[in-house]
Amino acid sequence: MAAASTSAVDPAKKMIMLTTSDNIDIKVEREVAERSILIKNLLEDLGSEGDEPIPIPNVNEAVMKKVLEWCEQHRKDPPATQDDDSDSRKKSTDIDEWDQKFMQVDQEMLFEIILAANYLDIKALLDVGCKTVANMIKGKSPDEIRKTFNIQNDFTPEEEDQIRRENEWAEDR
Amino acid sequence: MNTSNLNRSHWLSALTTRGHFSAYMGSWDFYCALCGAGFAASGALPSPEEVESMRRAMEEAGEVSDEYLHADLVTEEDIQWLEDLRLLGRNDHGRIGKGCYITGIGGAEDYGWASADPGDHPNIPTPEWATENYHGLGGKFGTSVYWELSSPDISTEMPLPIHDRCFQMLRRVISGTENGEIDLDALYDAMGTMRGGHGGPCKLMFNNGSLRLDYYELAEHSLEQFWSTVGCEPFLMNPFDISGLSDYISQLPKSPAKTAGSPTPTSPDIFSRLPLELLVEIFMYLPKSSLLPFLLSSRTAHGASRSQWIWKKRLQLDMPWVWEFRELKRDGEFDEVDWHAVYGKMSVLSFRKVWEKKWKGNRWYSEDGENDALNRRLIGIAGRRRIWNCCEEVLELYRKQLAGEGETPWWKRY
Repeated sequence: MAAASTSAVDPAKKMIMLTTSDNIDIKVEREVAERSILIKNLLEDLGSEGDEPIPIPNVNEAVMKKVLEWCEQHRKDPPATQDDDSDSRKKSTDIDEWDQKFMQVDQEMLFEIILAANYLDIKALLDVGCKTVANMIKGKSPDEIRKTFNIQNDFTPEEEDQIRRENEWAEDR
Repeated sequence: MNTSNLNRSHWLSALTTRGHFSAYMGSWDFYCALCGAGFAASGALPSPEEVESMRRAMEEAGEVSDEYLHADLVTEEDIQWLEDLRLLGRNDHGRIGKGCYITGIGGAEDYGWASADPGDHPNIPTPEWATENYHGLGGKFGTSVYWELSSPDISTEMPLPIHDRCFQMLRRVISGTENGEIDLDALYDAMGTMRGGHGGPCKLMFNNGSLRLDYYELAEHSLEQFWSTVGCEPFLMNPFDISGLSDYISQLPKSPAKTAGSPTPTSPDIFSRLPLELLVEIFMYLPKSSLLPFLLSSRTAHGASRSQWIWKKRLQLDMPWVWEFRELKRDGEFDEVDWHAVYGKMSVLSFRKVWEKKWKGNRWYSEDGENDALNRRLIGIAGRRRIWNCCEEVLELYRKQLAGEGETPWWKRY
């Protein structure tokens, strides 16, 4: 009926429920949640109105909220293109300003976001996460990298020598 | 006056009467606009007897001569490609676009003159419009490509001479494929912004074909007369047909049998939380110079680098000039390959710094005497890398032209 259709909610704006690993329910607009290909597919498979909460057993509330914040910001982004040939071109590590700020979190959270993006299948967020880590490694000496990531050096001098020898080319431009 | 309207003898006499003849010893060398190397193969490779007599003559004069290529490394066949050129030019009477064209194959002649098969591009100046360019050339299209830039009566919009092989390389760099399309109008303007001479910051007082590009190892060569000297060998060898490459590919090193699991990290670091595929992602974003520091920083990172797949990918990423590896069939035949070793070897062969180090004291990359001969047939990879880098410079200018952001070629400002 005409009256009903005017009051019908835009399906993209419809709220759905996610249940995180720590058993917290989070309400979110469907369009935002569907930045995650995993959730998108689940919703399609369930075929329902999305009334039932969707369990996300690998992501806790804090991380999920952070991920959804990113999804909200990027809700209108065009879907990721399947760039099959991109592998052969130099990968840029440029990150847009909003994403850079978004990624200014402690390392625990950074790695959690990467893992969540991987699990939830949000390619663009995964890329931003990996680029952020790569940028933290870039231009640093092994010592500086260890300091940055709080890694203990457990290579023996012999092992270190061996690695250097195996990668002699690394001095090349 | 456009130089293409001068025929060769007019042009020659114009130069000789201006007294330039003696200054340049009777020949004006010009260079490939793309790679900066010359177009003459003959004379670069003297016979051992000639080398010996040259050496003796120089010794008597108390000098050292190294102005020849090492016959141990280079054959006549290897440097023959230098002689094949094409001309990239613009024709006011062209039929399509802005009138830019590329000729068929030709060669350099004395006194800054080049002639080529006109080829089949629709914008090639036709004999009807440009009689002088065809005069007495038996159907070939001829033009000067060298000119004093101080001569006020001479337009400097001359065709750019480019090695046929370099043009093929550029086609790959621009289009990603062997037979891809190039927008000649954009290319001509892109390269035009870098012409040397007045208006530009170049020291040259003459147009010798070379551009204000970085020609890397041969950067100095196009500034003056070109000498093929010892040490130039990798850069003058045919950059396309590298004879050792197919042999190397047919016997790629096999990856060592898997060692019984790399030792567990004594102190698991933060990277150990990521699955291998994500470590690989991060690896792919690192510049080449950060690879070793990363491997040395974490046992997990080093463990991930044992994945051969990383090195196969990095090879394509860091050294796109060895496209043969990209074009290998994907039928599992290369699953066992030690891509880390292949990556290392290609890297060593691609960059001269290492090449020089190995060459001094007659030592090559491999200490293995048996591979020595093969390595000698692979040195052209450094030359290929050099030209690829030059092409990438042009690619950037070309993209700007296509995007409408390019500079106006300086000669159009006058």
